[in-house]
Amino acid sequence: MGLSSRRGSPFVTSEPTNERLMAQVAARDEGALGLLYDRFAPGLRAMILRILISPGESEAVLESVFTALWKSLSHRRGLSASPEIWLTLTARHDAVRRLRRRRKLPVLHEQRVSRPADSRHPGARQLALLSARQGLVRKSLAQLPAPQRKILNLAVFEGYTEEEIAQQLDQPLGRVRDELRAAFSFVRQRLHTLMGTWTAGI
Amino acid sequence: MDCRHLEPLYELFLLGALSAGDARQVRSHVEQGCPNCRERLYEAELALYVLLQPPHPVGSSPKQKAHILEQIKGK
Repeated sequence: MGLSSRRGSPFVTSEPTNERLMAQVAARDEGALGLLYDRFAPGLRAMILRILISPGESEAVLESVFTALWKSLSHRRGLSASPEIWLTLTARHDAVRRLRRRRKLPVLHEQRVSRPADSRHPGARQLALLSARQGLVRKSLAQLPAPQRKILNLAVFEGYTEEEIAQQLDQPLGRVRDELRAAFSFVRQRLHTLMGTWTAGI
Repeated sequence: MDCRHLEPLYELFLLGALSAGDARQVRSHVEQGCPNCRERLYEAELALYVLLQPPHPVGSSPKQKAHILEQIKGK
């Protein structure tokens, strides 16, 4: 499948949207999955490599994620988030599962909740905004205080729990909890400032 | 539903970093259909997505793509 042209405008070609590609995958269009792979695999591979280091294992994660995307969409189960968020969090989950198995750490508790596939969430609009302001986002998040960045990275990229981070750093659990909550509060507030709020209260 | 006490927990819940008790609280509240919690979970997903974005994507692999497309046939 090549790039689609807009119906009624044969001279205008444009990249198909993610939503359109997802609808095509739901109709079992393998070419659409290939386009989603082209679009997202490079970023996902870099993220997975940061977590796992091992290229072989990283390739295995990438394959399992795109296979899961195919199964989920082609069996009409839909996704509970926009495709880029779904792919990123699913890949991170699988990479961390493998990392923890390698380190002989217990399996993490289930991180998903039952909720319907929903296209109403703010993902697509917010993601477009974020994408347009990517440099600003990085610059803003780089201002996270160093101690908070350290424990945030241990949670996000090393897959450690609050308790495990406290053990690793030989710090009281209460302090680690406070630092982690403060770190995510910082991230949320920066994102809200950059994008404008879409909900009240933070 | 008052769920303000859960607000700092959503990202940590999605990461699997919470204690079993805290994770249970978040899950049961969201599964009760709390619209506020549902909205906050979307925000938390977005925050994690941003944090996980690599500065430099790593090149594509046509070989792997072909392998995936072969794998999904008939699934």
